[in-house]
Amino acid sequence: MKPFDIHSPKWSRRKFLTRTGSAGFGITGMASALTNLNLMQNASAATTGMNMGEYKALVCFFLGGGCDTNNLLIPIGSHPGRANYEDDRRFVAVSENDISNAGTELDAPSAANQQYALHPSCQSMAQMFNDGELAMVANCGTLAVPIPENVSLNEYNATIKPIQLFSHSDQVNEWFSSIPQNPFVSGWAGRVANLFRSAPYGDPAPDGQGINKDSVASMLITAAGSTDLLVSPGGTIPQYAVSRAGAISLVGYGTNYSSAVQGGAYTNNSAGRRLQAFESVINYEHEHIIEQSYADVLKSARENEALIGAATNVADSAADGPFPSDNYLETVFLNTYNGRIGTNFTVATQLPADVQEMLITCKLIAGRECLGNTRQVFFMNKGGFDNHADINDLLPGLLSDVDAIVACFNEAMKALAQYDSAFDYNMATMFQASDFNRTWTPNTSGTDHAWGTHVFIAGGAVADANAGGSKIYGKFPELAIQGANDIPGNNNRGRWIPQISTDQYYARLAKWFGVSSGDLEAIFPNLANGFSSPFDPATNLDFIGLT
Amino acid sequence: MKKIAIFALVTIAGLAVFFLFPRSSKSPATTPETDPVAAEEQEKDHASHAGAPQPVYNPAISIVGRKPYKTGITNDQRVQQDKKGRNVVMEAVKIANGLHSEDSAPEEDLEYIDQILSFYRLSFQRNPVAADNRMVMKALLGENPGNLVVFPFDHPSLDSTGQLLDRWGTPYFFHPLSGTKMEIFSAGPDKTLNTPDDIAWAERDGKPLTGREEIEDDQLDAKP
Repeated sequence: MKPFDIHSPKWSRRKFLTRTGSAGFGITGMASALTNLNLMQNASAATTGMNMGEYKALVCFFLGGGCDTNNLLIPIGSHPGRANYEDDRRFVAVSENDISNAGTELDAPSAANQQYALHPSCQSMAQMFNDGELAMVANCGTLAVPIPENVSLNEYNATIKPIQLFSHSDQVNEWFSSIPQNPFVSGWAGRVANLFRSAPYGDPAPDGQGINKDSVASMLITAAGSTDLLVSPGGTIPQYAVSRAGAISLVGYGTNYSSAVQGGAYTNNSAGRRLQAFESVINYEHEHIIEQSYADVLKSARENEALIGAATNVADSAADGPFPSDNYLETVFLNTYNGRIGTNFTVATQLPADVQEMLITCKLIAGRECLGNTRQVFFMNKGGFDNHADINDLLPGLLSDVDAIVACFNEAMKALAQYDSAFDYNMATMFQASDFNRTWTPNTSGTDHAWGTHVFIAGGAVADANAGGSKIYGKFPELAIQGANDIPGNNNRGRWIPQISTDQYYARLAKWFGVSSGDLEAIFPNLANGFSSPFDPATNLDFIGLT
Repeated sequence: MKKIAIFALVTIAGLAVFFLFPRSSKSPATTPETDPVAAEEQEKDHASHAGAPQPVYNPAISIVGRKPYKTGITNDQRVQQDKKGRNVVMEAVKIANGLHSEDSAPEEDLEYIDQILSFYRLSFQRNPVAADNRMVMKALLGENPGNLVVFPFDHPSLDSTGQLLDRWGTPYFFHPLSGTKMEIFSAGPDKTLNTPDDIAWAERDGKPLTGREEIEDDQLDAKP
């Protein structure tokens, strides 16, 4: 990545502050310290007495690069698309034999000719689907206005479409903003955070009264660096970036600042004096607004570091948390990952980076009381899906990782529900997104950028809505070149026009999360552009309840 | 005295002839410098002498002088209109006609294509909305909101499906990273993409990117 050019004319001061809010937190997090044990105690005590019974978390699992979900959700058996799948996808088609051997067929309660399977690498996810804990939404993507099936070329050309379809960064931004016809301003989760910012939320507050009223930290947390999903309007709610290890501490002061702090006081050595001086400096009052803002961010980062440290401590320490043994969640992750992938890892640091990102996310959910938010949005990313080449070599491994991460999340949430009386399995929901789907027909060894994709959602709230077993939501596309869902006049590669917009998909999640019906169009303005209601049974999006 | 009068008369007559009947000159619209067809011929001759492939652009351009340019630029003599009403960016076409010249290195081919794309970006602020070679070339050939032609439709490196081939006959691979960044790859002499002899118009961490190993290292991801 090129170094950030602050002098670039494309970056206004306002834009810089808005888009780099988390970077500021991240950087200053590194430059800040959790040295004061009193801060930790205060962090734990800050939320004492708050009602966490209404807690809900959304975890965005982003598959960076554009996952080929044509090979994630696969037609099998007598599905009318199976023949085309084999004919058109040719060497990238997954054989029914491989699916049968892996046992990833889905027990979708649908007509006999609508049989599906997940990729053979997704055995845990298939089991979760069949248990009702994971649902799929078919052919979802960025849309400004609905585009009907069988649209003519002239109608298609005249339709307002997302800006710069098929380009990575534009489509990623548009999946996050959900306003794809306009330049990026804010992420939809950032807009929700802005809505919840004033407590009690709503006036009157029919649905979400008291949301985040005891908040002591940002409800927007990313384990994968700054993300536009969590950019709030004007940067009013900064996103907080955590490392895989949790809070980021200063380097050079020993483990837990043991070289600089002992017995709650600074040590009488260079490390102690340096740290004391550093903390004194950031407590100075400044006349210059920028200098003061910088100092405020530093202080805020120190406080957040304390809070994050306290929260992860709840998950790691049997004495301070609900779990029967130390590092219990790490054990859950290790057991699940080893069981799924066949590794023999013994400590969490051996797990792949993206699995550790999910681990810290789950730890922060376990330690949620320290952060004081009854609503939290987490973000994590797994890259590598831009498989223009060698897709048959790469995709199975990538999807195995995805499968393991989803399984780890699911098992961790079940374990937390088992031991934490204030937590229910249905309080945390994972939702998946990606740049776009990939072309139906392959190139010489991979597939290229396309549009409408299949996404999955997982968690206890999904299980509540799918008590009888899950199903395919939305409308599965006709898998045919120049068919009802292919972009007209588009080189016969099979790029599906989404029939479910990101707004419809997210609106269900936002409603479950506590956004009132009256505010949904403020968060997702394109819903007013003629899309069917995501709450109308005919839209087929009831993959999660509304409360 | 008579001689002086005759000399004066001849001088005046000479001056009158000079000013009243100036030496005929070509109009600006048909000077070689501004006449795209003539310039094209000149290019062709040059290419022919150089022994290079002879990419020619001969869409029967009808020069109509300076026309208002639909995408915002007016009175730009670099943009001419052909018979079909398309706005032809002459400089871009000229660059396209120099593509794959034997005088240039294969790496320069990618730079040429990026220069052609830059003419498109100059007008629309963004690259073509395109996911692959055909879609990119369609846009460069004029299927865009301004009917702007920045690539000649009869270029010898275009195949029958509208794809732009590299000098070894393999379609270039276009990879849209963002609205303004388009990576371009040539499969190289072995005609197979993602092999070490690939040639890339791309960079990672500010450094030019070439070859399969580096590409795989980076996974070609766009980080969210």
